Amino acid sequence: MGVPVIIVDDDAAVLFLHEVMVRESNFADDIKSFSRAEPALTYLEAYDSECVIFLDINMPGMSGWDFLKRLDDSDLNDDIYVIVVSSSLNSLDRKIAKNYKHVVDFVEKPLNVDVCERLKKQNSLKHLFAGG
Amino acid sequence: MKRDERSIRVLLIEDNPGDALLVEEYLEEYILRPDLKHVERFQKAKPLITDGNENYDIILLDLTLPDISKEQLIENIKHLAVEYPVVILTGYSDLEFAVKSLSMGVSDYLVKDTISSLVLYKSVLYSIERHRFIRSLRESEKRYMDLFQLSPAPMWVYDPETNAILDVNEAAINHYGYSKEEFLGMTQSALCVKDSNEDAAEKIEALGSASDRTIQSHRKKNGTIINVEIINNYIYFKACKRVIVLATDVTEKLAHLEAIELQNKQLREIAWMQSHVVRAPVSRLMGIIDLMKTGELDMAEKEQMLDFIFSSAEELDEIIRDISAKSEEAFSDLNKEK
Repeated sequence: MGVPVIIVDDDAAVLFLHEVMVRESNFADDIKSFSRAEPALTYLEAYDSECVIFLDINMPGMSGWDFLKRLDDSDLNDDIYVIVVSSSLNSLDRKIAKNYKHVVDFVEKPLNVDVCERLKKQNSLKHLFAGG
Repeated sequence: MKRDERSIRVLLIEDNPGDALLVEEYLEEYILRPDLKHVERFQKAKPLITDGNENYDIILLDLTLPDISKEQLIENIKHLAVEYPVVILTGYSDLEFAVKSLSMGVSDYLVKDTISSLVLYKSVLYSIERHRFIRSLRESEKRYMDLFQLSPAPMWVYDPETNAILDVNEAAINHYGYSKEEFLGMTQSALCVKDSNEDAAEKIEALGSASDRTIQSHRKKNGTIINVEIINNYIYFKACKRVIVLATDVTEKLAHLEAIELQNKQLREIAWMQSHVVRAPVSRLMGIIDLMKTGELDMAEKEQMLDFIFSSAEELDEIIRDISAKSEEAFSDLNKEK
């Protein structure tokens, strides 16, 4: 059901929560979680096909912005959709996120079932759920 | 012919009554109302001139008077000529001396045997007008000197060729601590420790100053280094090209700017913490509560959630303490500055 999902967040509790929400909302069954951006990128480079990424911004080491920049610079599949999930209330972050081509949405933490349901109907993503 | 209708006040200092009469008659030919005061001795004329009560448009002065030598007369003329136009009356024998007197500020000389009414009239008018003109020039020069000397902002003048400081005003002496003599023995380059402080200039410019100013670092006599905003202008002083400098001390302004910048940085950090760091455990707590409400957690998972809640609360506590410390720091720094 749904599309493969990758969740990247350095906070173990958030990672657990997001997994639950994504699953409960029937957004996806196939979920890969990463607590660091580097291994997530390595995995993605090898995987290179249609998927949705829930990406945190403030992480030690490679930040969410660094991750997005690397993604834009690479020639990876266009069907990789990134949803930035940040605890930040700073409106500037929302504007910055729009500048990356893979980013389709920006949501505030915590992710819950309602947000996931809304994302399924989002313009850039709804085609992924058309069959379901 | 039509006579000049202006009233012209003339002081004639002449010991020869015949010459005096002649002068009076000549004057009346062209001037309707010559207001003539005649004295025969220089000592008699002196109080009239220095008193200030009497006011004359012109002084006609015989060069050979019985109560004063020519040399002494010249000394007196120097002062006299500042206040009044002076026309010398002389015979052929003293012609050379009369010519020399022109350099003392005398307006004109007339050789007695050649005086005619027209020549006298022309000399009187010409001398009065020229003196008036010179006087207004001198006043304007003084006004400009006052602008320089009495300016509340430190100013000085230097020679762009040698960098030698040629003149300095009171405000500069007071502000820098060097005496006038010390200033005049210095060069512009000795005063200036650092030619241009780009960093400071940018900050000042951001406050809305024009961009033709530079910021230099100067050393005061007591060794303190100050930052000054410099405006240079070229002036022609006694026909030489000079640089006039206006220096405004911006040391305090810059220090204040730096303090404000530091505080801004700290406030930005606090704002960043509010929006990123505080929000993280809060959003986690919200998520956990949401999850617990919807149920379907087994005992082990519930235990884990409680652990998450506890660690989130601890994290929040730590962050709030950190923010509070940072805020205190930001405000105490600014108070120190005051």
